[in-house]
Amino acid sequence: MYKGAYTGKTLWVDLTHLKFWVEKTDPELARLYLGGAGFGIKLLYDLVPQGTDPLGPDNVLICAPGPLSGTNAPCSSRLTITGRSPLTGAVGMSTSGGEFPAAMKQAGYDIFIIKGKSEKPVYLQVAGDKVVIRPAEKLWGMNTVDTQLFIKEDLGDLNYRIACIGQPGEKLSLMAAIMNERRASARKGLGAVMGSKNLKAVAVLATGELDIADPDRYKKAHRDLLARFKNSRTLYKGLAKYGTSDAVDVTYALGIFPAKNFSDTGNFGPMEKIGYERMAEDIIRRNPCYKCPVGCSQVRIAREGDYPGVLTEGPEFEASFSLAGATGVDDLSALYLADRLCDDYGLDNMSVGVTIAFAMELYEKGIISKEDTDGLDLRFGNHKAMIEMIHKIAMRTGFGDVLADGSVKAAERIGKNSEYYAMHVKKLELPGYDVRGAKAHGLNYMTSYTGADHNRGYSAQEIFGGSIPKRVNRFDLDGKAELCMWNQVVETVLCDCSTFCSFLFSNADSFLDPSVEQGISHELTERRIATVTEMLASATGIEFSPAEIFRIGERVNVLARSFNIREGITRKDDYLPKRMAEEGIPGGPSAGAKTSKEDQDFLLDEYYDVFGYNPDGIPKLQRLKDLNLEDVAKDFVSLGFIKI
Amino acid sequence: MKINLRLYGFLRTAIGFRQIEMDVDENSTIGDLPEILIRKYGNRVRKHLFGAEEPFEDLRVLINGLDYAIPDELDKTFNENDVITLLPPLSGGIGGINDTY
Repeated sequence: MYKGAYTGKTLWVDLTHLKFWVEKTDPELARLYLGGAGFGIKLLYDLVPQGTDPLGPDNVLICAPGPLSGTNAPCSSRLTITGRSPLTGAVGMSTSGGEFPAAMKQAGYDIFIIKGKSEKPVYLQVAGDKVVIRPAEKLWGMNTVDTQLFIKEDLGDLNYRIACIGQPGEKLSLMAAIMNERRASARKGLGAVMGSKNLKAVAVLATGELDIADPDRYKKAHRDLLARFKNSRTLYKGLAKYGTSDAVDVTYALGIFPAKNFSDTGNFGPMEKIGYERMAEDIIRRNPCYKCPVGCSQVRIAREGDYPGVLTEGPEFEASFSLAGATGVDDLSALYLADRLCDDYGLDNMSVGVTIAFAMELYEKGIISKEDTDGLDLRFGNHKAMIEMIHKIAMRTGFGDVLADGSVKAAERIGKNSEYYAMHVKKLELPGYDVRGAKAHGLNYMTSYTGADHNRGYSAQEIFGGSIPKRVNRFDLDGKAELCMWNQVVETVLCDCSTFCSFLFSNADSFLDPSVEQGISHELTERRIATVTEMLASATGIEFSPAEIFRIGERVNVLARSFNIREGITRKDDYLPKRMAEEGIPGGPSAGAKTSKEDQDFLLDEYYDVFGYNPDGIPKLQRLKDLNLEDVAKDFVSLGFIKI
Repeated sequence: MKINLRLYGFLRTAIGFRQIEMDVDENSTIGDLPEILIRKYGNRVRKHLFGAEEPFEDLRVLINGLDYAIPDELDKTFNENDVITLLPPLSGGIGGINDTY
């Protein structure tokens, strides 16, 4: 049935009855949704009815790498985990890399679908046909490092690759991550979903290899892609050497490195202490994902500061923003320790940092005091207080319990009009770009189906001055809706569904044909994505065309939005935090920039139009039919969202 | 007239400063920058600007936080007190026939 790349097997696990069974991976699913997030979102829509409690037994966790994961395609070992997010109520889809995704395919499975709730803590062992649901009471209370090692020893094989939760997931923190090695499917609280099922870990063992449908054709596409990697101006010279930390200086140079909970962007930015060149001095090795020739993940050790000797795989740019920029911290060793703690505990370091920053701003403004913060002097820049808060959040102690579910829930508990300071879209904390200075990136935050999510439609054109598909002025509004849609559709299908690493998308000349002239038409886009399409077609044996691949990206985005609409998440939720409309960026090269409500409405109106939505942001009937989303069309008619 | 340069990467290491203030002729352009820097700092920057590691045409040029494309906008003139940032190519992806926006 499957000529290559796919394994053809989907493992269902019912934790309520401690049962599992294997079904064939539906070929129609592969043809229309490709893999990864495509599988996750389609299955989520079908399996999780309207109003399902995200922390209840009827929510599902869908683990799905892409068809290329586990092959020798470079940068393709990527895992997507999908469920209804308890943090946002919307689609929760989170990605990670490392070894687990490849190992899961090589263990024989395209998809794990996990539902129900076990009475007692368990973990799942998958080694080819051998599938066992094992007791995990001894593991409950362990952090993610100890959990992974303990399971490997328990199973007597260090080659197991393990995705697991730590204490935050067990305690249902809405910022809980699912960790594999030190890679994180961090965002949207999926760690809490796993914890709510009493599922501590999933352990997979590679037991075989994947077929390639047309090896000669695939070899040529593979060679072409690697040549493109080599010719990229930035992939090996920038990303491989420095990791993502270069974005600290880049965003600061643009005046959009968010500082002090987005209240001091453009002013605070101690690059000599936390910039990429300073961080490069502490690199002791690189840690590539499975079959990745880039190796962007840098391991660093602190040599000075208040926490010398701390070792961390990172910090990535986002952690450098959330745990230094947003919190006003300039002690690099404290940043390393904070990054390390979030990995060890299993926490989304982005939401954690921005939530602590939210609390810091409240503290500085006198809205909360030491009485609320367990005596901690929670000023911006107090890195010791930040470290202490991370422990409290992870273990839900004291004030940590107030912050453990993110800034929006914290604002609800604190009251006193504190919600103005919660920097989020759809309750997901903002990533590390002050998008008042980058309009397409801001529109992406507004409209991403998971909430504010830089990786679902990254605007490398604005952030890095990239010219694929075209150069832009980051402050312009015109043309940004079309660009945002392009970014979202292409990144969704080529990164989240195929799966390839998102960093190829933000180093686009490594991935998309750089010889194609600038422009955003279908014809130009199809030429740009031809090589990647060829890899997918030759590996899978399914004759995808570039047009079909682009269509899959559209389909997945529209379906994800449809899930959200069904849950009551609509146009009213597609706006940036009020601060971004009312306050200009305080200083630096983007001083004064804001995105007014009128600007946001302008962008949304155009975005809905290019995506085929009506002015309320609901997909039009014909658009749903054109994208083979007849089920959604039926639902929307019966729910009254579309009138015929 | 005075301009302010912000430096990263090889240029920063070669020149030794993150920020420098320079006096340049009126109507100096982006395209004049390599010669301006070589006149002031000599060979230690020449090999970078015309070498394989970080040739000038690969740098990302910002003026007051806005991108200017090389080679299309080499004739862009500076104004008094402009802040010019020269970044190595770190991420992004350059391709196609450049159109100015």
